[in-house]
Amino acid sequence: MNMQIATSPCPHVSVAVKGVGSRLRRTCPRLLASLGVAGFLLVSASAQAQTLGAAQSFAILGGTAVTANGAPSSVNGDVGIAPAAGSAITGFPVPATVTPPFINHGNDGFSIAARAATLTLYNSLVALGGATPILPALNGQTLVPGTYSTGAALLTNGAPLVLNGAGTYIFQISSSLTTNVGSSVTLIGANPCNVFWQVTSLATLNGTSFPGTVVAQSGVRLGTGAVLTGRALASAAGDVTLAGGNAVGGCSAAGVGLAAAAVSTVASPSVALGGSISDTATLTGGGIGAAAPTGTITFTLFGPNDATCAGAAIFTSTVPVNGNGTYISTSFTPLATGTYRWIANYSGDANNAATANICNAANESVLVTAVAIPIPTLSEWAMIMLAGLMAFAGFAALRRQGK
Amino acid sequence: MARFFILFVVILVTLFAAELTAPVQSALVVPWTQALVRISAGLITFFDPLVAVFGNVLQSTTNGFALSVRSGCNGVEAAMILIAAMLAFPAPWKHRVIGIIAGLFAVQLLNIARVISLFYLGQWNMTVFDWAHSYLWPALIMLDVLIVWMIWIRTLPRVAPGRGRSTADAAAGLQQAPAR
Repeated sequence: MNMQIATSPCPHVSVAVKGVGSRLRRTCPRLLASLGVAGFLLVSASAQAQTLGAAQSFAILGGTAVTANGAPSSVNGDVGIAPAAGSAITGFPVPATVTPPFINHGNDGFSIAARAATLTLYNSLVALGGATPILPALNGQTLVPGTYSTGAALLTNGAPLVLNGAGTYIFQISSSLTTNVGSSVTLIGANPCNVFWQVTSLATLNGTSFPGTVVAQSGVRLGTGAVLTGRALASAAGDVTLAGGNAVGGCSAAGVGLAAAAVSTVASPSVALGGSISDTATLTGGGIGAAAPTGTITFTLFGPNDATCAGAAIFTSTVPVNGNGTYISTSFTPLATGTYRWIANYSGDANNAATANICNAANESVLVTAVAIPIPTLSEWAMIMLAGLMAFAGFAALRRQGK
Repeated sequence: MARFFILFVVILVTLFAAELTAPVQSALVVPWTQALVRISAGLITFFDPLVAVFGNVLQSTTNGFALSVRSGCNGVEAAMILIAAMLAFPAPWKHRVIGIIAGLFAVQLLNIARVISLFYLGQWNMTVFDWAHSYLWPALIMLDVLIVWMIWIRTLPRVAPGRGRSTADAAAGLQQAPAR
């Protein structure tokens, strides 16, 4: 073990002992108390900043499913899934909303690329050497930037875990990571976007605050009200679940330097049942020449009467894009009356940002009416009978008058 | 009497033929039909906001049931029969105008009630809707027109005693038949 622990009882002096690859330093409790922290202050091997590549814009990436339940949650970053289909993303945009310009990526090129980047990140974190072992009970520990390793990590609602100082924090957890309700992590000069958690099995986060990019093989589960300032990235076999009232994100940046493509849409007019409906999207603002937009525009139809597009899409039409211009979805023939809502979004490409249109955009609702029943006032025979009766009454009146 | 019958048939055919022409359709029938739908929807929304109008279609936004008020559903034909009869019958023009206006009101008010009632009957029970649409409301519309017609005839000026010619005929410019 290339690490030593300083155990000096001196109340005012921090003792640093250098090992081969790591340092461990302990200060006395009185000094720590004056800083607002308590417990051990550990110094580990310096950790290098990690590259997320194509996963950079993502706040949530699931492999098998991404699910949002319960109270409304907010995600400040892209939400993606791969290799499972986009339909395995449920609970977006209700009860969980994705803050524009971020969007959902259902097993598209972005999420597939992010999947590969996540695997690279995970393997990179695993491969880091020189990690400083720490106790799996994270409470009360005060850590400085570095690489740490432990077993089944647990953070209860006792004393917070303290990350003290600017720099990169990397945690290699050979089992699960669990934070209990009420637990928290205190950052002193540390940037949550520079904290990385490599979790070999499942990450269960129930605390009121938790920083960093969590990369977990079996998945990431956020309990009710849990806040994750960073990313929840699951492996291809893992899922990400939000129990409700969660906030995830804060470290993602939308495509920087990409052309700001925009999609304006006009749905087909109201039709009677039996008619077909479609959507027309006009892609503007994309690059020109070699940077002209490629990729696809996906038209998704919700309804009938799904006011928030919370239910499963009933129809999807994907149209390849070849530059700025107008694109029309495949027609769909509804089987029930009501209001149908389209959502059309451009997938983006290497030069053009994806769009994030949401439910109830302007001109994106189509009313499908019932086949209206005609209600003639009088049939032909009724009119003939009426005219005859009136003629008879007229005759009778004239006869009484002697004319 | 023969004159009344001939005039009644001629005016009736003329009115029905005119109704089929494009100018009358665009200037009178179609606007009135759309107005009828809007009036009906406006009255319904007083107590039920869940109704929508699309052209000539009146639709419930809750269950999608829809009525189409087309030409033939607007009470115009029933009104034309009444107008033809009033124009054919020997009467002063003042009475004719009053009778036609009153008759139009009576027919159209009842037709609005018919549209509204059928809108709800159709949502409630299609069997009752079909019965009301096919039998009850045609009978009520015919009864309405006949009652207006009979009342109008009864309100016409009576024939002056001993003169053998009604004031109505006089006012209508009709020639008195020679006394035998």
